[in-house]
Amino acid sequence: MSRRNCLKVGKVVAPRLYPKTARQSVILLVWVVLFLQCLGCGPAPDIQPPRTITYTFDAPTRDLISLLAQKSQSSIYKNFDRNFKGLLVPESLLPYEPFVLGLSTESKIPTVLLLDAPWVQRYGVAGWLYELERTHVFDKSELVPAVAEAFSVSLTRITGGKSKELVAVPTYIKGNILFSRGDILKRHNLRPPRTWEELKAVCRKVLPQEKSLKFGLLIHATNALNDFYPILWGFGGRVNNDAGQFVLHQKPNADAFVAALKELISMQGSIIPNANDLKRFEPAGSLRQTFFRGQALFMINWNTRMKDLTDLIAQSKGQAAGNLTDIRQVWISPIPARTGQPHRYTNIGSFGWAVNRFSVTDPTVIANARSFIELVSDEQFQILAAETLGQIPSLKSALDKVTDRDVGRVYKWTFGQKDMVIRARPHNRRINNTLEKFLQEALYGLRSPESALDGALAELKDLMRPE
Amino acid sequence: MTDPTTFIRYSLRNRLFVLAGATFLLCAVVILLFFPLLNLTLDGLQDRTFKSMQEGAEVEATTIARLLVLEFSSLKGLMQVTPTSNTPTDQWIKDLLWEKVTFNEIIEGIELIQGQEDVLGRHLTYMFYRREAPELKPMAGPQKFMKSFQGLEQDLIDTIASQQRVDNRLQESVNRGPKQEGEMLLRYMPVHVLLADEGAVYWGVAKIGIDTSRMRHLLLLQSEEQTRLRRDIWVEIILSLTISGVLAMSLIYFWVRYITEPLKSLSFVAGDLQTAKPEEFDLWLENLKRVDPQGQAEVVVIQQVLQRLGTAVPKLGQRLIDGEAQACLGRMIARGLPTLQAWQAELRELEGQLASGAAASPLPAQQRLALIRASLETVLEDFSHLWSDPPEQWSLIDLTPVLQRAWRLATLGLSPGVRQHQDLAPLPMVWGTPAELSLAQLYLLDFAVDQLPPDGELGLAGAATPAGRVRLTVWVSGNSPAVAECQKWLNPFGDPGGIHGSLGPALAAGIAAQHGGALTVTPREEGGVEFSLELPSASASQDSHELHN
Repeated sequence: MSRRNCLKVGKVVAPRLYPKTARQSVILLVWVVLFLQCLGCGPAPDIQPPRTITYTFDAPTRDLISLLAQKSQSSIYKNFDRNFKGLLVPESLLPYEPFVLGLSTESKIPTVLLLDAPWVQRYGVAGWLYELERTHVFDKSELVPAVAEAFSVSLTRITGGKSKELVAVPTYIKGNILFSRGDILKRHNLRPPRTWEELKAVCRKVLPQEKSLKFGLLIHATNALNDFYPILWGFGGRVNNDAGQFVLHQKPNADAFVAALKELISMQGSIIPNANDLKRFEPAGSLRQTFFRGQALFMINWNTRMKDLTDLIAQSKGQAAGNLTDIRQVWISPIPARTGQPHRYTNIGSFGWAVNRFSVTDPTVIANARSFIELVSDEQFQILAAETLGQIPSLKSALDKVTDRDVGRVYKWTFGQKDMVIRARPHNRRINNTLEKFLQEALYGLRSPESALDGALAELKDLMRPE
Repeated sequence: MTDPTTFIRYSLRNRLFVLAGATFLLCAVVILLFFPLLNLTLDGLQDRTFKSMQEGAEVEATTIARLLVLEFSSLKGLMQVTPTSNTPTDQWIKDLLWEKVTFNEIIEGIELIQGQEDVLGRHLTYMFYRREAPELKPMAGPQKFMKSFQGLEQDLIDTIASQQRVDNRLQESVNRGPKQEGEMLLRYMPVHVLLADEGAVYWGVAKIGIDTSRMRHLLLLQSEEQTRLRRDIWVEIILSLTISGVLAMSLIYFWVRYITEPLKSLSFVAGDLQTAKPEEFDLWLENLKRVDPQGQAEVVVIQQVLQRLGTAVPKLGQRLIDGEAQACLGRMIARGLPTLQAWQAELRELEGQLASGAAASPLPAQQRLALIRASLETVLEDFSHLWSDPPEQWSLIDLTPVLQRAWRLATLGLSPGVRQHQDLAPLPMVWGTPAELSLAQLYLLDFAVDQLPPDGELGLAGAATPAGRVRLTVWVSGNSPAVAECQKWLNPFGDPGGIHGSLGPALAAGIAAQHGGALTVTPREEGGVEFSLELPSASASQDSHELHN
């Protein structure tokens, strides 16, 4: 019933109630209260601290990032410096291994660090590195299995898991391999040797017929230990076990050490340069220069020398007779092993990006670290490094797409071989320095192989543990 | 509900006050509930602060320990000392530890424990604690386990951590996390000595104790601050509630007063109707009209209804009085009808006898005939007076004939067994309407006759009082009624559901009041009831009437 009817029926005089005004006042009041409630609304101010993460400054990586920023026009690469802060390590500090001090004292800096393969083992076993596959930072299956294995360590003490965990992501594969004069071997209808016996047989056959060849096999006169490790492993010997413990004094390893050294010394003079000639190869680059000039049938060197040889060929085309004129004259294969050994080995020289375990204090850090590792190890990055620097990609997908023939050839005939094992040398500099010293003395004829072993073990006695 | 105290207690105004007060108390309770919540919040804040302070102290301890360890890394002399050596380097390292602990208040103590043992299985330990003399027996710590330790750096740290009961699950790392040892926050960190040709060479473990008294002091300060904060907030809440309560209740008081004023005025005016006399009706209506409804619809409606009632009630009363008068006369006629019929029959018979000459003695018959005719004429004259007297004409009245006429009419037709007593003294003149006063007498006598038993007594007396007033008394024998019942006769509307019997006494009382007099009804001691009607004398009554008009 309307108000008018009500008044008519009841005959009530309409009182002055101002209903409309009162209702409007109430509605207005409600709106004001609601508006006041909304005064504090709105997005909260962003008080998150900047989430830049630190990484060890690495000049080649920076060069590639700059190149990618120019080529791809991608904001990811252009904003690289905004999101990631590089830590420059003074050259003078590098021998002191400053990051050992940092991580051993649980420093959160750097978040991401570039580590040489042996140091990946040392840091990983110490529990300083963040496992990458289990935490979904990186999928191990994307990597070439052999190199992924070299950057994996057992974290039983840390995580309780028995299997090896990937703790660093290599962006390329680098290792020492056997370079051969493919054109000469082909001329003699020979194949690259798989064992030392085969190598010696090839040399015995070819060297007398090829007068331009002065040496059968070139190894480094300085840092010869890098060449010796894959030879030792090919003889079944180990200096350190997988847990990083010194095991050279154990009989199988000691015997292998002596045998491998004997093998090298036995070849000196006929195949390998003798003590006097070795001095010629002490200057840097002398090894590849000799091989480039066509004076050696075989050479043990890093796979990156393939690019150097290509550059040398390009620079000196037609200047002298006997020089290499085409990189296709060079064949590559794994360093030979002892007859009967199932595997051939390479001493890995790759670096990998690892995450500092102590820096992972919240999900943002690990997300940024993941972004960084994706940036510096992604397919585009590795293809560019392969095309420009001749690096062998560590990603299987990058290997499939790389167009550089030499890069593909090196991988196919060395690291891609089924019997190839990529292994890191011991990280302990004292071990390496000691072994290097006694190896040099043996190669220069100052000690017998047995004496060299005894001398090294005597100096490293404090590292020995009971068998 | 009509009692003033009850009215105040149950009035709308009071109920609104109580409701507002209860609402405010409810709001106050709700507001006060925030105090326990505040306590919880402060407790949570304290926990979070404690946690953050603890984390801050741990970070500080880690930083200090790291800085010390980084400093130790440059101590190449550490590599030269062995448990068996006693070289100047030993003293140099001891002095260095003493300096670090003595001049840094935050560092409570340092232990340097060499990881490598000598041929006898002994480990070298440098230790200095500010709170304990260095010559005291070493505290139970890593050095105890170092003596039986063999293995790598990580194994050593694992051993220390496990033996020192560090919770690996919580600490995530074997050498991470503080341990309470006394009042110190302890940090274990491996010490590497930097050598150019060998890199960072592991030497042993540093155990660094950080002072925690500052954190405890901060916690104490924070606790005191929270107590003060609680007290202040409590006082502020109570003060705010008190002020807001006073303000709110003050505002509510005036507001409630304002909105309930029309209803209150209306209820007072309506209440006056209960005691209002007929002559006060006009005044009551005037008061009713003066109530300001202030726009309140309910008040307007009630006011209008009361006005209609107030207008209608006097008219209804007049109609009631008129009807009762007619009923009274009707009852008298009905009561006297047999007597009149008897007189008529006797009159015919006597006239017949006289006409036929059959009367044995014509003289008595003629006398009887004359008497009957005189009686009839008297009755008719008495009735004619009732109809002929102007109802609203006031004049000086001699009540004696009025009383006599009323008596004659009332006693007409009474049974012969009834004893009638009429005692009329000379009465002063009164000022009034004859018709009304006659009716008043008739009402009383009619009511008395109704109460009269068959062989009872009925009396009428009239006399002047010493004060000069006229007192008319009608009494009747029989059962004595209760006083309350007598009052009911005068106020038949007192009990709305119980109007019984005649309205005669009430109307007579009304007429008496109209003439400035009063009617009282009292039970008689010897049985029966007595109606006493007092009227003012003519002079006093006339002055009052003129003044009233």
